[in-house]
Amino acid sequence: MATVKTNRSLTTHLLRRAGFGGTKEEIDALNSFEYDHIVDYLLDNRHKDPVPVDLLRRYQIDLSDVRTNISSGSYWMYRLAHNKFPFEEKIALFWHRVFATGQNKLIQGKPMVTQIEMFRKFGMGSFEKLLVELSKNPAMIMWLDNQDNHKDNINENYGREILELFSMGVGNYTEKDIKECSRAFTGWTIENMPYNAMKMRNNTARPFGYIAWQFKFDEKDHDFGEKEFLGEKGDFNGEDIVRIICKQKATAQFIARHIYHFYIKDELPVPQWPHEEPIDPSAIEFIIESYFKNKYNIKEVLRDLFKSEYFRTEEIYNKRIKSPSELVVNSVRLSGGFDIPSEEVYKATSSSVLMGQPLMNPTSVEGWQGGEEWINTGSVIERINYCSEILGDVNKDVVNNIVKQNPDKKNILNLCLGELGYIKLELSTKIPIEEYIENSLPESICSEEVSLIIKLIVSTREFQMN
Amino acid sequence: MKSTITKTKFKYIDTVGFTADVGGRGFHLPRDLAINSKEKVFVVNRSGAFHTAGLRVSITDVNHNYYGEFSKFGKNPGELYWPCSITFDTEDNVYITDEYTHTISVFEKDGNFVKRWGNKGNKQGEVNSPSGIVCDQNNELFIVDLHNDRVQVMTTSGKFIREWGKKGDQDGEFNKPWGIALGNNNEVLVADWRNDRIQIFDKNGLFIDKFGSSGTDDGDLSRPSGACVDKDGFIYVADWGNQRVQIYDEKFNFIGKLRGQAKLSKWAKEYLNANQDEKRARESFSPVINIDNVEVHEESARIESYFWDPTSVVIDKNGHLLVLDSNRNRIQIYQRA
Repeated sequence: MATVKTNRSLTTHLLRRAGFGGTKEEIDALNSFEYDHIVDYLLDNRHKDPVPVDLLRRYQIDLSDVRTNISSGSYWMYRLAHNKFPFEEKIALFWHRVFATGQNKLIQGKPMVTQIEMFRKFGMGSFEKLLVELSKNPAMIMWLDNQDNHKDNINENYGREILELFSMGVGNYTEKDIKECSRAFTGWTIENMPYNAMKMRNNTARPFGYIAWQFKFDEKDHDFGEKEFLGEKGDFNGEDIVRIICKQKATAQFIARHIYHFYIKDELPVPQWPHEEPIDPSAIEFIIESYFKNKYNIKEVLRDLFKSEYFRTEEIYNKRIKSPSELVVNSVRLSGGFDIPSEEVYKATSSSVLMGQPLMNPTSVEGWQGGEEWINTGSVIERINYCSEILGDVNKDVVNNIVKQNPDKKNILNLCLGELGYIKLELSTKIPIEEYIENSLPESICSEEVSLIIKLIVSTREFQMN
Repeated sequence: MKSTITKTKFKYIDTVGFTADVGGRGFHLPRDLAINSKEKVFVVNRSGAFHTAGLRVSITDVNHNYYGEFSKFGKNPGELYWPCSITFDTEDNVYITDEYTHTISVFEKDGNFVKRWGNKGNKQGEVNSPSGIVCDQNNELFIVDLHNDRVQVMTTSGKFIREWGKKGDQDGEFNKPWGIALGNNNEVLVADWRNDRIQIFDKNGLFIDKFGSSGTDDGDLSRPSGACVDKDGFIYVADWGNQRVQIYDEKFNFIGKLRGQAKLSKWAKEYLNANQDEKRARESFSPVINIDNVEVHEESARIESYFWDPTSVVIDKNGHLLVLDSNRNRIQIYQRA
């Protein structure tokens, strides 16, 4: 039997925050390693073929052209639920929130699928490289109208948002900086822009469906003149602008607050950041220091953070409300994943929408604030119903795994809590469930009773938290 | 030993169809097509999840005539849920497999629903996601039983006749087979999808031969979805995973490949004529661009004239090759030069 080297609560905390929660089997397997090794294992492994794309495209055929919201969202949902190294999906979800881009304007889902793939590929590396790739990303170009940013007639939309929403935050640059930044991104467009933009504007898949977009640098439409940006002068292109942005302390602080908000504890809404101090300034300083020390490498920043006391302290365990996608993906993973072929993935995607988080369709350019905003009377019901249905399914792994262990009235609650990823209940939650088991369940426990207890657990506040 | 390869050229002829995702003239995510004795082309449109209005069977021909459509999305008799493949008996009655309901639906030649049969299971006569289907001159139906990894032969009323195959990668075994076709001597070609090969049997299921292996080089296959044979014995394979059609001679030598050269169809031109803003915007459109280094599925998504998920191939009486270009909602037509 493997020696336990890491506190199980810490392992489950890490798996919840760096991924989408672990199964009992995953947690037990990782516990035999030193904590730092677990962090390294989660961050350094990637899976080449996380989902059987050929099967998806054959059976769920709309996941091949991924044209509609439900199709593109479901394609990602498959990956979220099946990637053996969920950290790369979690980091994609993180960047999707920061660089919020929405399919409703783009009309077709394919560019969003491509953007998320870009987050997987570059989201763990240098922030500078990521920001360049973001600026070249066709979905972002069309989302923020950079195809209309011309050398003799600039459109400031992208130039403003890259500074305000994607890197430095309000108050750290001037209106002139926005204009100069925009000039540097003139000519950053997509291939066949007039026709593709027309198809987007007219919302038409005729004659032969949409054409996937590809970045194009239009030299003839680029402003090669001298620019002055954040105190530096030169014939700056977009890459130069990003290089200057990334070395600013304001950028490090802005990214640090996003990382803190996503991985540690809910921060204030972004619009308040220029006016309010971070809730934990020392943690932000720690992340800033790591950002510069690691040459803007995001994975190394997260490695430092996950190994730090800011992350390891028990004070933050189960203190964040799971986002809808975290809740759905956690439930699907615990249940053993999606059957292929089936319609389960569409249901999962739709449930995330009903809970308030339509993947690839954030509500605004500021993404989802999260925290208590996830909870309202409608979303709570959907959250409980979805988890109950998936995890209480007597044909799925969770119930079957527990039944195999011959549960009785004394151990059924602990068995269920273990199979759900070692959920810890507060006494005020635990006692009523124990009383219910004692007074209402028969002596002989079958799958129906197991399902019932699971449904009670997933309805608790503790299960709904991360 | 393989014979000397004969160089053969293929000429693009025409494109039929365009996107019609809520019904009407056109197609939406079609899975299969077949040609009846009157040279009418029946196209099975599966359409998408939560976007099911496009599910129906469209009737057209290579001259761009549109004769109508029948069936719709649903689980009731006469409706289809995940339709996959289509064939005709000698009276032009229509048989359509449904991978979701595990049934075969039967329609008259004009689309009037007759009946459906089939039950989910793995016993003789039961099916688990029937995919490819083809009918021979004796009105025996050869049905690819996807999740049972076998071929079953049944009567047109669903009575079991015989079966062969099991899961595996040896001769006569299958891994998620898809399309099925008959050769000139009534041999049976099965697209052994996840084994990346075509297997050939006699009508009783006796293994005759096979060709194709996993890869992207000429002659290699990646997830082949269908095949057909012309009067000279040339074999055409929908090399779905490689986004191309490959052609082999009767000894399975590779003799050519098609990547797709579609131009605007008649219906597409009519659409653009009616939408002048799009027509003007298209004047500067280059269908073929220099592509970033991306995988072939993405390449197809970026170049409008290429095949994007070619699922089915058939030869008509004039020797024309019809390629069902699924994600582009059209049929590309070629001819051997």
